[in-house]
Amino acid sequence: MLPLLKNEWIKLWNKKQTWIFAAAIVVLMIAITAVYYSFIEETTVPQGQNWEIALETEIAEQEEILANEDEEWVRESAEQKIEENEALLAAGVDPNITNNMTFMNETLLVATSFITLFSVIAASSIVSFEIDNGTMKHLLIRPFERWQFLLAKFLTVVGFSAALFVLLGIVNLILGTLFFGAGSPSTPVMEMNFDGNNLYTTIDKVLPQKAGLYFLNLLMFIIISFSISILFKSQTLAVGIGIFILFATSISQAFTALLGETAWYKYVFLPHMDLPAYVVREELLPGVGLGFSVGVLAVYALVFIGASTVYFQKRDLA
Amino acid sequence: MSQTVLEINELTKQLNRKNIVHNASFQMKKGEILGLLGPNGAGKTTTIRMIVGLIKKTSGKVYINGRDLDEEGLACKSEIGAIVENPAFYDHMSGYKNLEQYARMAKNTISKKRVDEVVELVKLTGAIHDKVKKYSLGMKQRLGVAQAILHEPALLILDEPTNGLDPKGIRDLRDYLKQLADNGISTLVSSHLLSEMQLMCDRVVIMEKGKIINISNIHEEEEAEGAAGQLVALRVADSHIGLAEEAIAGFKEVTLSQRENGSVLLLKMPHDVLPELNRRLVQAGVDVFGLESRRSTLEDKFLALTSEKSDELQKEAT
Ligand SMILES: Nc1ncnc2c1ncn2[C@@H]1O[C@H](COP(=O)(O)OP(=O)(O)OP(=O)(O)O)[C@@H](O)[C@H]1O
Ligand SMILES: [Mg+2]
Repeated sequence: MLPLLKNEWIKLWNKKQTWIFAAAIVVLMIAITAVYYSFIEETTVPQGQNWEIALETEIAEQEEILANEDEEWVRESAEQKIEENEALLAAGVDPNITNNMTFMNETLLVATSFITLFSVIAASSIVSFEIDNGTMKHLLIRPFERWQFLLAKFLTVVGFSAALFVLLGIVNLILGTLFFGAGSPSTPVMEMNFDGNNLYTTIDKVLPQKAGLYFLNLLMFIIISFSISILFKSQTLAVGIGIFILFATSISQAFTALLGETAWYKYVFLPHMDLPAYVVREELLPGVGLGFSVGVLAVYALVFIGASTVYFQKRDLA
Repeated sequence: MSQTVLEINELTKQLNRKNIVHNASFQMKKGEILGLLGPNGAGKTTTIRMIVGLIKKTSGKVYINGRDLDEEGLACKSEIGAIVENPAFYDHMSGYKNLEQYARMAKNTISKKRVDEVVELVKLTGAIHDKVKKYSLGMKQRLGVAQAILHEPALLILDEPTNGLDPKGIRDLRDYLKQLADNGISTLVSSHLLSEMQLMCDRVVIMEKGKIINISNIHEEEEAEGAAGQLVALRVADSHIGLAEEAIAGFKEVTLSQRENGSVLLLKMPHDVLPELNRRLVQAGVDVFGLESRRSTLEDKFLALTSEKSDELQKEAT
């Protein structure tokens, strides 16, 4: 098994495409840093004063507005602002602090859709390329079971995705440190939640969760594209479906709003492809928590892996 | 001593209810070179694919060194080296890196020395570190042979290995296969080059329309032919035709079977009277320009057999 893994890893890194993907991640991260940097420059409030005093001043201003205004929406927004500032003060979160840790917390997942995309492409092509290229027959006549080749290829793609993710993390850390300075991993932060209470936590607690949940979703993308490329013998179809799911996930909130009421929707894998959302919320749908989501994904994963392995074990290789 | 390396028994492949290979049976002894002949679409490649396990057989058995392919598949496969149709490679990698891939997949450890030795043998030393995409057809074929013999298999299966090889390459391959045979390694080889097969093989199996129609031993047949009488072409000076015919007429072991374009006479006679015929011609004062034996070729036999068969089939049809 180990020689097969080694072979796959070597073949992968002998492809130009692999290096292009890795380079693209670096370039993308640089671009994100540039955008973030200019954005921070524009909005940063004058430094020099204590952030707690600034928040308190803001509260006082809003209270004055509350005392003098009758307009409903103005009062509401002022109340919200006061509430938020008080929560920030209570949790010790400086909303304007920028360092390499807050930078990573806010930007790490931005570039991950590209990692997903590259992983989908790699997963879709690793089997079909060898079949189209005619080299698969040289593999299958060797003294290994067919599923061992599949496993080696699958693990190689997972390893590749993990490598891209680690690369992203390292580049992110370097750029963050260069532009925003080193900060503490336990910097308190606020995570926005549009459907409920905001989460007040620290980066070293929340970022590993985000990364882990993202990686579970990434694994799911790999499994689906890998299996489809085997079952339908088509790289194009597998990449197409992978990209479709990627887009569909980014608008899954709309689907959830539309179909969330139906009994079957929670058994579709799509709404569960946005696991990092669980960082700030307990439930995706009423009664659907993280455990349920992971369970649903696991069932899909087993079905996809099982079907493609059984099919590949039996198929005739022309 | 006469150990059976490969046995196929009533091997059948059915696709879309059509028998592509039907009840094929033969055995191969240790150190034997067996030719697999047949017109295009006869089922040679299909038979080979079943033996190496690339496609599932519909029925029948394959034994390699007495082991059942169905039960001890991996053990069987580790004794086989094969080229199935055109060898394919990772074009973006060098020939050497390609070979390393196959070396890692062997059950026995393959030293760097062995790889170099094989490269030397197939005469690719100068080009082995070039990318395979720069290779010519014949060079790829040589690399194909290299990957098949790298792990010193007991049974070599070569599907049209002479495809794309230059005359020198074909001769080298033939010499090498003979050398392997002397060391007890058996080779099953399919080819369209009948004259080459005649030189290379100990026995030939002729297939047509999925069935084995003839198995014959080349050397035995040559000997039999030698005793019964073979064809000899005699070329004399134009003006001496009459003289020559007179001399032959007085030699009872020799019969004149045909006159070919004026000055060539085709004679039928036992192999051992050739020197005597030569002496008599010289004594009769005939200027002899050439005297050569014409063995009936495998090609004659092949064409006779396959056309006989198709005649029969045509009769059956009407
Ligand atoms: N996947 C397939 N589906 C349907 N028919 C097939 C398939 N593969 C091969 N055949 C048919 O099986 C027959 C035998 O093919 P095979 O490749 O074994 O012939 P061959 O003897 O190797 O011919 P050639 O000398 O051209 O290499 C052909 O008639 C071919 O059309
Ligand atoms: Mg063929």
